[in-house]
Amino acid sequence: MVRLFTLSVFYKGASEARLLKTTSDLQSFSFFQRGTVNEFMTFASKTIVERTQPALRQSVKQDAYMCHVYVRADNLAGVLIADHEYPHRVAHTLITKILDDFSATVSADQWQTGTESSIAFDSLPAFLVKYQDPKEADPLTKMQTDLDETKIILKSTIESVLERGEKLEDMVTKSEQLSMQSKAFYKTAKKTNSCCSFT
Amino acid sequence: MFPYLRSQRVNLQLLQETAARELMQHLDSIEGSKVIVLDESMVGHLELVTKPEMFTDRGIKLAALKPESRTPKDVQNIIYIVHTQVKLMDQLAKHLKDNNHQGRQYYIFFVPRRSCLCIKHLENLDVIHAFTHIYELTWNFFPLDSDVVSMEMPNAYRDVSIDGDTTALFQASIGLVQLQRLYGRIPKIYGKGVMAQYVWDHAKQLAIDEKSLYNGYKGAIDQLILLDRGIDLLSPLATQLTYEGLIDEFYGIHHNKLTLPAEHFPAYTISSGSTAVSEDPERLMGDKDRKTIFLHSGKPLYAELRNKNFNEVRILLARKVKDIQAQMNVNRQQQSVQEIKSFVERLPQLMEEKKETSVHTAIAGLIDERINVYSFSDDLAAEQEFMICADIDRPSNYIDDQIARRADLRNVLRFICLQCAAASGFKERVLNHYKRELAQVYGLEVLLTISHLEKAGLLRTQTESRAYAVLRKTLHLTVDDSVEINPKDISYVHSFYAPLTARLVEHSLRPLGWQTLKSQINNLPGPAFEDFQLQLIGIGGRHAGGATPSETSLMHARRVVLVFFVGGCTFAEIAALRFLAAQEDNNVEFVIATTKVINKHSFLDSLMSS
Repeated sequence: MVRLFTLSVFYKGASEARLLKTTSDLQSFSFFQRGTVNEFMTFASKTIVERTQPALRQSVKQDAYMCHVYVRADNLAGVLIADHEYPHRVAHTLITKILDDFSATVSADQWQTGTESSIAFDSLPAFLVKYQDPKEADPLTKMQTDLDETKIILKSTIESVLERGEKLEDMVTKSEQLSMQSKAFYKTAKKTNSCCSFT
Repeated sequence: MFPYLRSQRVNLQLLQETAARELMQHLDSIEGSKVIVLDESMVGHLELVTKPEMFTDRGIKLAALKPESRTPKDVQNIIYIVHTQVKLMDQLAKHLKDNNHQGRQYYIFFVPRRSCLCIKHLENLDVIHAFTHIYELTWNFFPLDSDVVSMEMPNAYRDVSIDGDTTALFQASIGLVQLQRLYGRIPKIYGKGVMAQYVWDHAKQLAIDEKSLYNGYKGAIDQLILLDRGIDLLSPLATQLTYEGLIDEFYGIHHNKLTLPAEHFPAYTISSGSTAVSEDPERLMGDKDRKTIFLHSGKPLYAELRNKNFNEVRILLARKVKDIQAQMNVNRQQQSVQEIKSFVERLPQLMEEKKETSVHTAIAGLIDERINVYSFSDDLAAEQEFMICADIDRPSNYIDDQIARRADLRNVLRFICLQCAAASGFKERVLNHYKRELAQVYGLEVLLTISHLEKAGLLRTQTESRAYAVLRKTLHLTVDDSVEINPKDISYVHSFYAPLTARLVEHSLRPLGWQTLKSQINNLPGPAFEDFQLQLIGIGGRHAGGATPSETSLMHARRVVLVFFVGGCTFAEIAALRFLAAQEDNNVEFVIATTKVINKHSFLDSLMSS
């Protein structure tokens, strides 16, 4: 099952990472677990940002989860926690996109000092929902899926065209039989030297 | 339109276009709606030079000359395209009377020329006044393939040798002049045989008036070799062992088409609705419960198989099927989009190859059934014994046996004539023995047939020379260690016998030509001749001496030789010549002309009929 759990934007400060905005979708967890899981995921995201160099992307496996992180050169970072099956490329595309959107909407001076409540950036939840289905959200994946489906249809069409006419197995049997029946046409055993006598 | 005609230096598509244009010009000069009425054999000939579109584009329908057929009232012109045969005139007159309509105009296009006899007959039948005009379509040679032209005259040899009617030879001469008009004058001519000489003498005579033949340009054809069928009567009687030869002998190939019952071919269920029409787009008048297969060099698989010995065909077909199987079973799961794309592009060609292979596997299977019977092997063994002159001067036990069993007369006569040809004539007592036996078993009528065969030269008594026996040694007509698969010598066409005519042509390619064979060639019936048509200088008609410089420099380029079999030739002989042309060392290209492509059955039929 392809799932996204949390999506967060951090600012990587000199000593620690500052959480600027986050959103999560924890429906798959039972009601009572959600709080704990949320804390854990936030903590993991923060840690991973702190441990990642600027201008670097990483995908880190953590138990059942995959944490995708991108720390930009200007220390703005995005973290996406997903399951193992979620395609990495789509994850990083998403992170890049939200960081671009974030830096366009929220001015840079707010990054170092802002908190969740002070920063006005609301598109995270929408993105999280949309990207739950990577195929639909990401045009490239969508195309690849469509392509794969087309390939399958194409292959079955080709098969049906190839089967037109005589069945190949019949032709193989017939022609093998033909080639094995070969007998030299030159029959006579009499030597050509035993020619007629001249009278 | 006929792409398979185009591939050689002598572009036979030109011949086809000229013939088609002649017809269309006449048709276009007639105003109003038209229907063309054809005699039965004309349909096939028409298909060799025209395509259905030529008629449908002009809104012209084609009909057969059948007694009950009626033409729709609104047709303003009826055009009869018929052969110059008196018996067709009766049918024609009846059709005209039955379809007589006020204001309608009637025309006749005679092929290849009008004849006083036919016109007189129409006068006697009182219909001659009905015709607005009588044209002739001077179609003498029909292009069968890029290297074969045929006059489509199955009875030529018979007419000349038995009935003394030299019309066919005269038409051949006209045809030769027409060919030179299209392809240029032929500088060097060789020939052997009475009929060959006749054709050449007339052609030369007729060409005197052809100014275009005497300009400075060199034609496409370097040499003409005329061969009278009568110099080699053994080859047309021998069983052919090439793929095309066997198809012709068992089923008959007419105008590049083979027609077989549809049940032998697996049904094409998906596209059968549309293929009923598209399968035969080139047929003018179709027939649905039989399958028609086109056999010409435009079909690549057939072109590969046709001239080969049947035993080689077996192997090639099996290989082809495996090859197609490999191409089709490519693991498509592994293929990338690019690979699938290129596969799809090749798909139509692959499907066409599959269809062709399926058709030929079926045909080869049918032939194999016919070959795998004892009678075929026994007959073949008997033929081969005659060809090596074993016990040639005695009545053959095999033949006596066949007669005693009252076997098919045509086949029995074939053996007798084969033995006669190999012996270069029977001893009197042997010939009388056969005559007696035949009359006793088949009735006295057979003596009439025998007298025909005697007139035609197939049955005769021995003269001094044993031409065949000597030529067999000097020309290696029979080859002990002949190879059927990947052969090196033309003897593969009959598995160990090289047709005498083909060997003669092979010899003519050597630097000295027929010089070394002079004495043996003289033993063959009829004159041997050599002639030159050189460049004309001035109005007086004096010929320039020797070859012009431009002609000598071209002696090293590929020679184009027109070989004309006067009286008919077999597919095996054609295959042998094609084999020679394929040998690089020979440096030659052949164009084969014949009065008709014959086989052992059709040859004898034409001589046996009354």
